[in-house]
Amino acid sequence: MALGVLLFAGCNRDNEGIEVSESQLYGLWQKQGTQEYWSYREDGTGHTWDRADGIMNETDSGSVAYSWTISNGDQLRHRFSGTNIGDMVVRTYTITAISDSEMEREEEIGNYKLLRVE
Amino acid sequence: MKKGWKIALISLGSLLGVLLLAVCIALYVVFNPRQLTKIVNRLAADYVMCETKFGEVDLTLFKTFPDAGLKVSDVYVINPMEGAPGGEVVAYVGNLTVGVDVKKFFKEGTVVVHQVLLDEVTANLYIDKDGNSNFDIFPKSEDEDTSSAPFSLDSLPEIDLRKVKISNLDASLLDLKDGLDATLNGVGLEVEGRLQEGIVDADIDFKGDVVSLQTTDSIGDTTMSAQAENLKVALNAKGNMEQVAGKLKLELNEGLFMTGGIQMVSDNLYESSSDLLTVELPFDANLKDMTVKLGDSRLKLDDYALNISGDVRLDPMWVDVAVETDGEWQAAELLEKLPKEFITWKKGMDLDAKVALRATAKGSLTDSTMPLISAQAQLADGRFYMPTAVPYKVNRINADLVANLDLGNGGVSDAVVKSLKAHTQGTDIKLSGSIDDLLGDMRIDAALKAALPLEDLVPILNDSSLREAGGDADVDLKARFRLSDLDPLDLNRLNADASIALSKLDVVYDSIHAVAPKLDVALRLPATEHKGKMADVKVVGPKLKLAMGNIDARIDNPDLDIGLNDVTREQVAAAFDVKIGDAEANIDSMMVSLEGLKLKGSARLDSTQQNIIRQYNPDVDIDLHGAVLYMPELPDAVRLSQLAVAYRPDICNIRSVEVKLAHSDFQLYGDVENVEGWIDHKKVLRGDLNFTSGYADVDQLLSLISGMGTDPDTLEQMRQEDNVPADANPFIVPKDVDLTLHTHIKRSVAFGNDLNDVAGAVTMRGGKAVLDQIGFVCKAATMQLTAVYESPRPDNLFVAIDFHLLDILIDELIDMIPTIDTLVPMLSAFQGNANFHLAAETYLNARYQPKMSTLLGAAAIAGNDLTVLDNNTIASIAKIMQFKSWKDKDNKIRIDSLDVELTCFRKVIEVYPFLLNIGKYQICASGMHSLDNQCGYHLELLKNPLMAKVGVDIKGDLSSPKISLGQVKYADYYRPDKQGVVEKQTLELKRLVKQALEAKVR
Repeated sequence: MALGVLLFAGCNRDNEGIEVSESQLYGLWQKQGTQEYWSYREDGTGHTWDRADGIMNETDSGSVAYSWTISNGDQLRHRFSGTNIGDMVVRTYTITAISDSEMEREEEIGNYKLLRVE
Repeated sequence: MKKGWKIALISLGSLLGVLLLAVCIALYVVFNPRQLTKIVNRLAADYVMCETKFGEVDLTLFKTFPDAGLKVSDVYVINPMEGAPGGEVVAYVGNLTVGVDVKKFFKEGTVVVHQVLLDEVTANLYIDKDGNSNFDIFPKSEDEDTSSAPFSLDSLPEIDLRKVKISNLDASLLDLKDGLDATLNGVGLEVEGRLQEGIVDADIDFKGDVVSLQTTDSIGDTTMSAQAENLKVALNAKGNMEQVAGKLKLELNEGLFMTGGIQMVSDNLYESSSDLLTVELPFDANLKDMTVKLGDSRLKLDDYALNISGDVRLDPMWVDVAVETDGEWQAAELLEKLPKEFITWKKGMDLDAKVALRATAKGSLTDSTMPLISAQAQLADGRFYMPTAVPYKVNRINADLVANLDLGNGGVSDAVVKSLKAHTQGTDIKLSGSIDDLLGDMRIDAALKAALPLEDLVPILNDSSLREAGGDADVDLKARFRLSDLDPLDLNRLNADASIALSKLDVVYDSIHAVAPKLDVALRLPATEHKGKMADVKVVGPKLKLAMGNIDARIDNPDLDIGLNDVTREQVAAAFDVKIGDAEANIDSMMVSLEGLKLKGSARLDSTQQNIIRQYNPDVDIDLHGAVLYMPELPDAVRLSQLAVAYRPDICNIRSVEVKLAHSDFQLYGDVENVEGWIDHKKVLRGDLNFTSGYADVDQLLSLISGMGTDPDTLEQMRQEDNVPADANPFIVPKDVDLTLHTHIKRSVAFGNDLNDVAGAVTMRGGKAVLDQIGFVCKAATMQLTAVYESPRPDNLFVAIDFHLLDILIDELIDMIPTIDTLVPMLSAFQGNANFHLAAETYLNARYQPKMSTLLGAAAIAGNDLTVLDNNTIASIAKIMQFKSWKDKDNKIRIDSLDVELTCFRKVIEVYPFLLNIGKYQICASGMHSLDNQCGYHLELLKNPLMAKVGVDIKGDLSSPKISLGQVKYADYYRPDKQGVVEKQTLELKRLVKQALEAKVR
């Protein structure tokens, strides 16, 4: 049993992800089933906001700014900057699928789909 | 004109001489009319330079008995002169009779004239513009100019004249040079007595049907016109050519007299049944000195008689005369008989009194001087009613007045009101005083005493704002001022002392209702206590009730000492020293109770301002012993036990304020600037205050200043737009303020937590509230909080915090901040002391609930010698990782150290890899979980007795996660890096705080 555990634990999973180009993200996306929006600009910046909290667009206070990059083909990395405090919070999602109208993102605690708005 | 009369008299005398001469001649002729006529005509030619004509000259004995008379008929004096209204005839006498003493004639051969009788006399005297007259008909003496010599009866032949009678005289005098036009019609003049050797003893009776006199100015306009009808003058005179005594009586039945365009005899006077004028004038005249001593004379105009006595000198004119009314005159009736031009002031006025006058006039009457007149007037039982000025009747007027008049050039007159008493409605008025420079700019020194019901003032003041005035006023006023100070009113020049004792005061002025059982008001102009001010005003009383709009106040022992500047200015300024014993006021639903209030300073009222500070512009020291404030917004009263404030236009120095609110108490002192500008949103309210407290309910205190400076309507509108629940009342950072509170609070409660020994600076500036490294103790743990709070909208609040707790029991930490358990779910499994450091920012809704989409944060938890509570999850993990003997003997799981760092974004918390040392095992853990209870953690056994690597994944619902073997991720001897995310976030927050504190706000 212990050996089995060690053998299993010693195996590495290969990266089988897709190759995503940054240009595929440019634009505005809405998290499916929510009022949460994400924008991706060509300069590598963006905003996310949630109209459910009364934040109606990216210029409203409460809209969270971030910088974003893609690495390893499908790793979408965000570095969030607060309204008043720094950009220490980092989140990386895995893009599992992307098309002109949809994008699927995955993180440790779940998957969700974003629909292109613009 | 005097010269004209003189010439006329000389001419008349000369004519008389001629006539007497004719009589003498007649006596030498044997009573032959023809001879007499020839003689008269011839002699007349010698004495008269103009043509004369005589009818028949005859002797008569009966008409002049016992004297012999020479009667001459149809005597004409003819002197043609261009423009003369009577043509060429200057005078005509129908019958001239001269009576001669027959005895003297026959015994002594002398002609002594006893009688001169003229009947049917007509005279047409005329003086042209050059002064030439038609009656200048007598030859002038070669030795002297008779025209300039004074006339004297001594110049006449020696006579013993006993009767002169002129009947049916019609005469006119037209003087173009001096503008005189006089006529006499139906005049009869009879003189009986003796004129002998300069001795006069005569009774002269003059009766004229119509006597008229008119003067004109240089352009021919009438300057004076007089007409007397039925004029009777009786003169009794005895004396010689130097001293004559006698009595003059004059009766004028009717007449008119106009001068200056004013008819002095009014219609009422003219139509009166009484004689227009009667005069009784005993006199003793010295013709040489031209002085007249008047006996007890009486002059009566209509029914108004004056008693006159004194001395008069004619040239130069000088008088020393006493005049008094004969009894009392009824003013109303007298006024009705004055020319209407003189009583225009009386229009709309009812005025009457019994008037008694007594006056003396003494002094010279020249071009520049007038006799000094001293007059006393007594008014009794008078009344006055003039609705436009005083809308009620004043009666029972009694006065004793004295006036001294100097009507000459530069003369100064004065008057004294010895006493004046009057009564109106329920008011008694007493007035006394003096008036200097009566006919110039009157200088009045008056004392007035009045006891009046205040309601009597309402119609006088004619102020629509004064709606009701109840109570009584006992006024004692002394004033000195010039009349010119009243128009326009110049209160700065008035000198007055007034004391007004008000009782049962009940006044409604505009929206102010004042009630006081008793108030003593003292007024002093100019101010003596408040130097430089116009007036001192003192108000003292036992109680005063005021109602003003929504304010209803009761004041005990008010003591107001005010120095006012000119109240007629647009902006009234006052220096004041106000003391109030106790006071209570209800303002809307708020109630204030004051104790021992003192206000000392100055204020300037400017009603044009909206800003309440600028309306009063106070510069005042406020000292208050105690106050209680009840506000509906507060469940408990606010109690001030001490207040000392010095308010200046540029700075408000709060020297000391001690406040108790519910269980809170605090003392406040420091400076606040720009209160005035802040109210009208033009300046920032700046303040640097020290706040010390034994106990403070922070939530309650914050609610007191929440929204300060923001328009309530605007705030309410935002609440409605944001659909803020009524029970949610977030703290709104005061607007346009720059306030720093240096706090030191022993005990406090804030957001449900008991905080002790709170110390640090709280700053509100630029819409931000900043807590700069506030230290406090909570649950025996020392904490430090740095925070920035903003409230742009009630439902969109922002908070950024840096919260540092040292050596706190984890249980208490979770109890104090339940959110910690959400952020770090596994923390609840630990026991022991830890250090906790949280840096985060988020927007909040009106209930202070985070808007999770905006939440960003980082936290670090570090502890040593912790104990882990056993549970199923841990047991499952331990089982998979093949833990053996990892618990202590007491079955507790001990952890040497814990050092966790995590970040939070929205609902997802990411825990960075950290090490757990549990006995002989070392685990590295990392992962994330969401506030939706989803987790994805990875644990990896790094060190164990078997040296085997084992990875465990924990996924799914946090309450029952799926625990399974996972991929090994870490290399041997892996040591997770210290991320330092919290420190970095803290640095960012400190930068933000620094920016906020250094921000230049307007």
